[in-house]
Amino acid sequence: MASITLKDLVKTYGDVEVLHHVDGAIEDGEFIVIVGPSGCGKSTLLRMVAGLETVTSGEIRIGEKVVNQLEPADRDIAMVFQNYALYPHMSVRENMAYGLKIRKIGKAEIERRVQEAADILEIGPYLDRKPRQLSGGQRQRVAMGRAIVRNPQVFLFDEPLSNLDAKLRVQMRLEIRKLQQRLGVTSIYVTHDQVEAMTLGDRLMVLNGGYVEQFGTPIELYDRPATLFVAGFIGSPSMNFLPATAGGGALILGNGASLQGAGHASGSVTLGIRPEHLLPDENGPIRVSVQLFEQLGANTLVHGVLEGTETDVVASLPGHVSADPGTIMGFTAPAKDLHVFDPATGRRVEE
Amino acid sequence: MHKIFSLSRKEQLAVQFILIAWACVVLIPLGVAVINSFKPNLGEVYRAPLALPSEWTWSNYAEAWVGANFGGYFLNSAIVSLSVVVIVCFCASTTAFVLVRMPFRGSALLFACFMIGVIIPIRLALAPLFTIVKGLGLLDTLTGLILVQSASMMPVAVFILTAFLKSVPSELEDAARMDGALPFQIYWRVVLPLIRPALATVALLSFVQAWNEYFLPLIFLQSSELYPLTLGIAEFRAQFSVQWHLMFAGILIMLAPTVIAFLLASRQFIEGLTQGGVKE
Repeated sequence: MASITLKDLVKTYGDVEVLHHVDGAIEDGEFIVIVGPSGCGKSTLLRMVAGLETVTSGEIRIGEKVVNQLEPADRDIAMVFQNYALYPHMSVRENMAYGLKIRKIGKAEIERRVQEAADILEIGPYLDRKPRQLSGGQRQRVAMGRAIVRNPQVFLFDEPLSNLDAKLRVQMRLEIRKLQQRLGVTSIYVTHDQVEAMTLGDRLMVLNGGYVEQFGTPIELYDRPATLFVAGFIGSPSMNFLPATAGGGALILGNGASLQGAGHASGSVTLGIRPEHLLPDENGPIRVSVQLFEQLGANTLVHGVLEGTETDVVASLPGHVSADPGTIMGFTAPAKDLHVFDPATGRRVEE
Repeated sequence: MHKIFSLSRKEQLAVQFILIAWACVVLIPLGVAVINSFKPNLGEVYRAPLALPSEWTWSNYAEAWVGANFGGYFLNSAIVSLSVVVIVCFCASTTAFVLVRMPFRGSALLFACFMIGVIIPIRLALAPLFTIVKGLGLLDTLTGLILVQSASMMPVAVFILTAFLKSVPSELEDAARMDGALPFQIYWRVVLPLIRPALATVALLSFVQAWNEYFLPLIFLQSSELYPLTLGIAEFRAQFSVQWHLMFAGILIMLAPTVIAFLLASRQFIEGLTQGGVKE
């Protein structure tokens, strides 16, 4: 087990800087999820920790040891790849044992560890099969088994579930979480799926364009997003952003409606309200001209525009709701659920 | 099966006629050679070249093998061709692995040199090549011939293998690195099994090329006991110019290994080896 420290990490390819001064301290046994859109540098960051990419500048420490110059094999880490990366010509058993064999571990010990991992992952019956004879979920388990048998200090996961179908993904997500809790191994998990990130991570590192937007617990990110990007990225459906003018503790929306709860903000701001925080209220200040409904069963998504403007608004209401298109619905939102951002910097305006 | 084009009946007839005609052009001479190689004497070959033999006999094969020393030529051809296959497969796959996965300063230039080698036939460089082989003291040795023939196959082999290796995802090699494999172990245990289909192509090409090569042995060999089959047949024709029934037997002996090589290698092409290791 070990902590991981990232200090002022920079990665450039030629003249292009793809990671800009990334800092982060990961505690022993923590499950960290790095999340962000495609091309934000999350996989590059993970591969740098793994030792598959060189570090341009900065420092990576695993435990107390600086590992910048160490080969992947000497970092005491194991990695699960997006496409599983199982050796196609080896059986499941050989796939799991290969790393141990290279490390010259005794035959009996290898057999014991493979058996143990196979029991944990319930892949015992498949040990003598080749990867191509397994289903996607089984291959995923084998890939994890290969990581487990090594008994490493750190697990790295590179979008391990993105090739599975939706149902299996939810199931494997839970299993990965249980497994990590059981083994207590420090883990870094990369994904572009914010739901996966929210459910798995002790803490989330949100990356965008090579910058760390925010690093915190899922609830912190949800309740107090530090930037417009995090606010829009975390939560589904994503947060509504309404241009507004703040002054004297009140917010004036584009159509002249006024809301309480601007804090110390003043001037032109962007107001963020999550769809689930819009409460129906006939006399509410946020008046929405309804365009369509999405019925999800447990709740209903109301799509529309802020009355008198072009600004899209989505509200998530419990149960079944319907009305004719063009109907005006009134909403209100509690002051504690209003997020105020500076549109120029994209950063949250502190209360 | 889904058809991209569907042909009218007339068109189908035309296409099939062309295919059958071409098959005849290829197969009739071969069939004639087979028939005549089993005839008991030369007279029958001349009297009725297209008729079946009056009695089927293997004696022509035995005589060509022993009497005309085809056994010795065959052995020389086998030594040369198999050595070329092993050398080319090993050298070209290691070269391709390094060029594709561990590019270094100047690797692009190196690759360009190999590509130039694809375009320019080795015969153009014969004079310097001859001087080098002579300087190494390898003239009139099978070793010299093997090295020259291997070198002449390298550009095409490197070309095929680099192209194939580029299409193989590198995650497997990353995984092997995480497992602690050293570069040579990655090459041997991971890359080599993955590129087996391309390697089979290279092996087949270099085998057939080496087996059928006439020109290079002619230049680099002098002693007739070192002759491969190609030179052996020429020698045989000079000595037994009218013994067609023996000649046909000799030609068929020479043909057999290439046919077998094609049959063996074609299985490799079909086998989808990378399937299952990574998700496409």
